[in-house]
Amino acid sequence: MTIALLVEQLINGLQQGLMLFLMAAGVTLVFGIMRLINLAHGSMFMLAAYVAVAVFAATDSYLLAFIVALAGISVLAMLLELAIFRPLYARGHLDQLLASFGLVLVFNEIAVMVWGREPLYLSIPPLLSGQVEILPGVPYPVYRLAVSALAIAAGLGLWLILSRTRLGMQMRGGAERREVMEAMGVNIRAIATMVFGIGACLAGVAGLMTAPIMPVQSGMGDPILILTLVVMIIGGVGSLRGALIAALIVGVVDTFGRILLPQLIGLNAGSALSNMVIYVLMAVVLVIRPTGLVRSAT
Amino acid sequence: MTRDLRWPAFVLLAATAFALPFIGDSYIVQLATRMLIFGMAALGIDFFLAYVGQLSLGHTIFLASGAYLTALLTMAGLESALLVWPIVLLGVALLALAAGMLALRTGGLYFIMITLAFTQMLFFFLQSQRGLGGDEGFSVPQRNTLPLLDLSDPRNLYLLVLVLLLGVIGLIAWIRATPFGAAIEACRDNAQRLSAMGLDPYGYRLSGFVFSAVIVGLAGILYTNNTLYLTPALSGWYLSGELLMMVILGGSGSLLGPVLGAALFVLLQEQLSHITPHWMAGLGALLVARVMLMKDGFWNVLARRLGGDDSHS
Amino acid sequence: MTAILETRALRKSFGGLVVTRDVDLTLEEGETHALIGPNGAGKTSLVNLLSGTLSPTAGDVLLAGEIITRLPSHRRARRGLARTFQISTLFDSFTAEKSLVLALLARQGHCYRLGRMAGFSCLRDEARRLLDLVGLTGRNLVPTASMSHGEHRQLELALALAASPKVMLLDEPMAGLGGEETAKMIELLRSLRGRYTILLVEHDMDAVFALADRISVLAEGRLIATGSPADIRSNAGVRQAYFGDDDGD
Repeated sequence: MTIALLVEQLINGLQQGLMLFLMAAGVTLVFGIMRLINLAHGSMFMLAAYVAVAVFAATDSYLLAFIVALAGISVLAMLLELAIFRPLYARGHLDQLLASFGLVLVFNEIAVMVWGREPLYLSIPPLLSGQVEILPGVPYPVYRLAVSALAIAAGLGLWLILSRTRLGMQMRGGAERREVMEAMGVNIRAIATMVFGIGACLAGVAGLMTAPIMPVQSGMGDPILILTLVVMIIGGVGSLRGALIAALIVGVVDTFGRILLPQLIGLNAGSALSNMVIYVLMAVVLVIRPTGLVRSAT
Repeated sequence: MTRDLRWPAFVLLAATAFALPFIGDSYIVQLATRMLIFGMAALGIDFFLAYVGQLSLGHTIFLASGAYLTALLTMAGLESALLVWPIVLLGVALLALAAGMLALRTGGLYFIMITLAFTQMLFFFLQSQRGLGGDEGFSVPQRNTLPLLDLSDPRNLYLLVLVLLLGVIGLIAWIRATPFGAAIEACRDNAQRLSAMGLDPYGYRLSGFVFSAVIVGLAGILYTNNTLYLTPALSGWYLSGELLMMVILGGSGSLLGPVLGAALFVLLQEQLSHITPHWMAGLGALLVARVMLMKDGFWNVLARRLGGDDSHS
Repeated sequence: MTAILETRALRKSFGGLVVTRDVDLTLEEGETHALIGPNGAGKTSLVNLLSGTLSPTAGDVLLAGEIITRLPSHRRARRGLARTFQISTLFDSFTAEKSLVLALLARQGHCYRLGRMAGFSCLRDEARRLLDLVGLTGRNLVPTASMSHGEHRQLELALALAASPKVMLLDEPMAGLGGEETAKMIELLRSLRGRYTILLVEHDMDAVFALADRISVLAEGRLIATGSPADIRSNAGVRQAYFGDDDGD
């Protein structure tokens, strides 16, 4: 394996890690405040990609496609919170999980009804097609760099919201000391709605990052959702820092596993194992640290 | 309080089930076999949910491993059910022991996520097996054989599945009446008290996990014998969700609830798919509606009426 | 007199917060030893350290001369350490009798048994005797969830007694009881005096002075005094630390 390939794959891995982090951040925020795992988070990822494809097809504007997709998905998530999840906070995990599972089935089928079973593709903006040399002799697609920049920007935006705004302070407070916040007159319910919106927006960014490199099709969000949960398990459920570290590790390990294993142990066994590498990683982490790499504050 | 009508209802249902192969055509018999097999799997999952008190999204691992092991052994030339089935159940139990020892070190939502990840892991493993047809799956040449009972006749297979299902129902009822079952339910109610009494909750949770997995594994064995065709989707998390949906349609924590829920689910799936190719949306909406609008499954609601007050049948 | 339960320089901290500071506590065999102290003094933390619900940052716990510091709660319970909880910790879906039969079976160290629960008729008789003892006569088939708070406190005690323990840690057995119920509970505990070694955590000073052979006082996680009820009543340090800024409830 050449240095050039190594560098290229490392960046690919980190990029996948960033995408997973954006997904995990949304699930973690909702989990932190409402103690709920929303399986339909993967549907937000999928719907954002679909909406972007559709809006682009209609308007030929990437900017408009991105804005409509992100705004639409955030509003949808807030409506879901109000209509479906809010009445379920007082119920057990089973009801919450199954309601969100029901939503996954509904959204996947709606995608089929509206956009059909054939996968769609979002073409790469001409401005970002082409390649640049990131190191001498290592060409890299401009688009992928732009996507990484977008992910980092979204991550920074989240960090700014959490650390610099009143809402962010309340979100962090709500995750740690719910009763105290409520006693102080903070409206936890309104915050929960906002958190669903912000989480879905991040999932939307992840979906938009992926749309040009992966076929957009019904159910595309579901494997990503499970990868996201693996990231959270490895990182320590409830911890954003843990999610970031674990997401980058999972992204890199997954990417290199897919390339190295078939070379090391033969094509058949290698490709069989490469899909499972991160699950093995998860199992190892569970043996050593059952509560994940980073102990959560909550 | 009115008279307890739950036993008469149970006897009536069982009698109908036994009469079915003699009055229904082969389509009905096959549909009913499917209902009973999923009913058994739902029952196994509900044992863990209702009595051990934890939610697992990973029990399709045991459905799939039971089914695949049966298929592989059969294709390797072992045909006798009396030989294959115990081996498969043992294999499933060992797998459950390993998975349980890892996953049960945690609890609650963490546990749910880990079990979900485990099923995905098995899914990818099965999908990547080129020899087993990858995504497309593969067909199994024949059913297992039993002395005296010809399983190639669908009616005989149906009756066997029915008897085994009743056996599992009886087994669960019996376990619940023993100190072992009481300890399992005690750690659901209050693990702290259980350890203050000198009992280690982990051991009871783990054995409850293995027991429920073996029931689901038996359903997997029967699944292979019924459909003679396996795909990796058997280990997918959709099926995990659907099995839980069967449980809550009928009602958790009762012996008939999951079985009747499974029957209703299979029937709905069958009927909806005749009406529209988008039947998944209908099932999803039904699931959301059941969770939002009803406090319990239909059998539990009915059983409370039949029995006066208590929900446990 | 021999020490049956002992702590040596026992310490527990959560980050910077020290809840138990180098506590040396000794329970003599057969005594009723009260543990008092203002709210937040660390009484329940100490009980949790003794029972194994918490593990200490430093120091040791000894039961009958053997170090049990690293044993999990269920192993300590098997060695004869029983406890009640300040907030009732019961099997809500069980009847009182079923809970007690399970507790009696647990004395053998495991419940991997597949006979019928209802078949253990001698244990059911024993369970009923325990229910009679704590004042729950005739309540054996009532589900725990539909019992009153007072009955929950009585059942807590019955479950601890079912283990035939060497030592019982009673964490505020009178918590939330009315006047008459408290009087009954005091009477009940008085009847157990001398038969069991008891560590009694209690807020009710009348109960403490009526029942205790010795009293230990905890303030800010530190053991500030141990002595007979008369000693404690006259101890100036105790008065200041405890009665001084707290009217003793």
